[in-house]
Amino acid sequence: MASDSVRDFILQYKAELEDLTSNVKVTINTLSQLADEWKRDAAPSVAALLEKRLLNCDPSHKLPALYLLDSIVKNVRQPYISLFARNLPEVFSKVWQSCEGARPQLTKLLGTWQSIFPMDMLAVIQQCIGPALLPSPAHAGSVPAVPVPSHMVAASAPLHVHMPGAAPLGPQSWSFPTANGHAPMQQARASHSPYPCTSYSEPSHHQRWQQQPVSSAQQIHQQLPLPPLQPQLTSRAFQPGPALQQPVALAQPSSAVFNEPDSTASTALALQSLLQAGLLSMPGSDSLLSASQSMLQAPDAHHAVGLESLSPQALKAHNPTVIQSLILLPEDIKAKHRGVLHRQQQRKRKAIEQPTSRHWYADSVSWIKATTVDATRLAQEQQVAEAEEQRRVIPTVPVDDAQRECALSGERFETVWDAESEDWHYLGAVRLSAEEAARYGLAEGMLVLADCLSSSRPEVADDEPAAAAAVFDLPAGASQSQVKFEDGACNAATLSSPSQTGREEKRKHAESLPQDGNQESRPASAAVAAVQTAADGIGTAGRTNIFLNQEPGASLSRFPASEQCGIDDDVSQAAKRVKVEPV
Amino acid sequence: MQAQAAPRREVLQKETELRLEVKENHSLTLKLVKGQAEIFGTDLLEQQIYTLRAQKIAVFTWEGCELQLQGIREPVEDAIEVIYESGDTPMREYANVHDLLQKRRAAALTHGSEGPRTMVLGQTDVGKSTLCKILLNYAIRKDCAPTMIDLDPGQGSIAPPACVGATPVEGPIDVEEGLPVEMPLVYFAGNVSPDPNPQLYRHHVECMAALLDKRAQSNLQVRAAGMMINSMGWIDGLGYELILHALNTFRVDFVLVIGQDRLYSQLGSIFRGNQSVSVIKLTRSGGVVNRPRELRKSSRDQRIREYFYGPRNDLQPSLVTVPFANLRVFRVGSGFAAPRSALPIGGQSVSNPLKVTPVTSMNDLMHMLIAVSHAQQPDQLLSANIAGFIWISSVDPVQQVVTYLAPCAGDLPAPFLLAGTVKTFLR
Repeated sequence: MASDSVRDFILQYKAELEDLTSNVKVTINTLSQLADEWKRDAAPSVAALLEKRLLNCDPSHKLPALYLLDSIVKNVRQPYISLFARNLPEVFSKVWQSCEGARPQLTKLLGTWQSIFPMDMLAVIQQCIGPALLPSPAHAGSVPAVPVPSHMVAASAPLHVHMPGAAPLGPQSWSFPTANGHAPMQQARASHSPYPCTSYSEPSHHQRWQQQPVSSAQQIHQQLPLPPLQPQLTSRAFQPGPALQQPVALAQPSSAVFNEPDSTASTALALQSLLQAGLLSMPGSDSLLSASQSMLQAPDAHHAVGLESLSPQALKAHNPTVIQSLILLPEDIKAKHRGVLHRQQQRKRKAIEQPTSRHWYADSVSWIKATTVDATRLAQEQQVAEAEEQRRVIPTVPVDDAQRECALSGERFETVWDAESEDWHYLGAVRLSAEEAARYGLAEGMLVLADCLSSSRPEVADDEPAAAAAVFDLPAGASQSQVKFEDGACNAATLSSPSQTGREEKRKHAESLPQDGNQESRPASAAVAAVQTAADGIGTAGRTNIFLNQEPGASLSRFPASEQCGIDDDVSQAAKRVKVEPV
Repeated sequence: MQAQAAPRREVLQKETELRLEVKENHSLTLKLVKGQAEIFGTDLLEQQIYTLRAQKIAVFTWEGCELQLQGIREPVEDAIEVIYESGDTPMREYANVHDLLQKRRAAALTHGSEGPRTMVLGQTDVGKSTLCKILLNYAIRKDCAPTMIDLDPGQGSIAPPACVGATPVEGPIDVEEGLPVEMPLVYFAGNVSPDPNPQLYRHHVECMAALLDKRAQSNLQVRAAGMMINSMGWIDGLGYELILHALNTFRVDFVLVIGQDRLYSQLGSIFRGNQSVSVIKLTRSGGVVNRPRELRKSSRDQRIREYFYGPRNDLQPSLVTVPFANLRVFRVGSGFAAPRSALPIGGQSVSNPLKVTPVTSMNDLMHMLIAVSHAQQPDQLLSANIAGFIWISSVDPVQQVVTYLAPCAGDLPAPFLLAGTVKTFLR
């Protein structure tokens, strides 16, 4: 039965894939969603179908299919990442070969996979497509930026990965200044490189470049951008001479080709090429070489760590690739870290203004649940929540004694203490701009309740509770919720809208409310009482003070779980926004 | 009011670090003017101001950097206890270890297998927690979120002392506040050393490992990110046995031994021939400061204070008075076991170290740190994790009431409490 439905799904998915002939967002989203929904039963089949399609379909249809793969690995992630990772080098390079026109997009796509697929695998891809990685067609047919297996670049002059006789150079090898090697370099750079180059005045190593690996080294130099502010690759091992900074720097900015600041794999490749070409030599270069080689190996989950890598000597070895990969982070990770720091600082600032309390820790079941939520989804939800929070900010205007009522509805403004400006403000009020004033036929600069301004709101009494709810941050339905106090001093009170009828109703209930004595012991109910008082105060003279809490999350902790207070959830929601200051 | 004192500039060469101790009750600000710098692996952002309060830190740079230090309403020199630069750091080793771990994580993510479970071992004050922080931060840079586990009840980096705990680390570790403490999984050992009740310690390690296994199974990324386990500095005798127990219970596969040849060779011979466990010896950083016993005690008291009041004194605890009967306090282990010499020849102490007994005398609890357990029944007290702590401020035998400090207002989240032996004075 189940297998039938799986089969049906697969057949349907196959058909849908065949219809994926252009880059239509909706289709790709739908297909990703389907892949997500069926991942438990049919993930391997979906992956196989998509791979097959990528290999066999018309070249013009490959890019959309690859976008679908991208969407699936980024949104659904596992198990698809593992499934696609197996054959992706082959698939990607096939696509690369057949879609010459789409290479910029492919390069870009590849650049975004660094945080998704293992570096080792991406390195293999880059190795495969290396010759074509040139940023513009002007470079077509010229020498690859990174060494590649020769069968891939038969037409070009390859730098062999295993270069015989590339003996390490002693430091003395670097001291032959020649003008000879300099000239073609400059020329080549002038003709090929669109990138800013560091001005360097150390021609000493060109002598060496003139030897065996010269063409490739030049090509590397041409094709890699060398921004002036390039951080220098750290290395004590590179100390034989300042000239070395140059070729080392070469290795690292290659990533800019992929529009990504970090590209360990290409760094490794370039470093390796330099090492093997004998351009770099250093004490401990063997370990560097082996390290960069090991980066290029295919991953193997179960291989034990080689003993040689654990020896104290190996551990002490200088390993520039590792260090570079630690320092040069992809932009998305950097942005994430900035976000974390920003939140930490915000929390600290807020804590000074508005002390909070530590929460109780979660029990083990909730802890597991809370700590295994997909981190990316959590971040998204947080963003949404924050955006929501921003939207919900209630406008306030400093108290203006010349005007105490809304110019539109005639309602009296409520005053709240604004901690930021340390002054009293009218709650929910806004000052009219010239344009708005004209629309309502009022003078510019008049104060009105923001709720009265929203033109979409029908001005019927029935909708008033919604307005009240907005002011007190309640769901609309909550405005009529019943509040029960534990002590029995009062049976019920209705939190209602500031409309005329509502106000009367409220006053009725407020009479039975204990106005004092209860305020300190029962914060939530006191807050509700204060809302009542505040609303009532509108009808009478005098100023009623409500403190708007600046941070709902924080105050929630001070008004613990609603059941402890014996009041409805909705009302405790209200309580969390409004804090009472005995007047 | 005096003008802002001139800032102090420090220029660091490649792969050196600035070791800095801020005086007690002083603070200063640190800014990275340019270059790259990190504090225990937390990358500093350029031009961002970091506040350091009575901390001992090292600012390390891989590539060289320029820093600016400034005192707060005082010349910066007045806030500094010690400051010097050192080029002798074990950071390359640490980076290479990170690389080993990261390769394992990448492979685990691809294959859905388990990421590296790393345990850091060494005597007290060799920089165990610092190494943990560095390796965690480096994993964070690779977008992995390992789980930090602290098995040292002596200091308490995640929860107050006398606990073992775990927490996921999902972002760079806050330079000022240390490991994230908002959502830890905590077990209360009751004592700052496992010595009085090693069975209870073992039991907690097992409970935690089982729970973390369950968690790892439910999420591929969590599983692949692996664990970073900090151990206690007690490495001989019973301490060594407990380390072996923890290594087995957590199925640790990377054992990092800092500066302890003896322990390294002991463990090396145990795991020789075991392909799945790698024992690695690392150099102790010269910057690690030895803490005398009194300092350890006072830093424990500080950790307890921080639990209630926050590291910057910005949390608001709540003082509550309740009748005796409202607090149902228990203790694990039946008091003290009778010494062997006091028993008849051949007799065994009948005290059960895992027996839970109610505490009858409230006076004993004066100024004690008490854990609030998530247990729903007294018999779950041993295995349940902790919801938080209260501190007994005063006991009034006449009125039969107890006043306690709780982290937040309101009733306790669970009915049963666990007493230990940790006493401190907070107010």
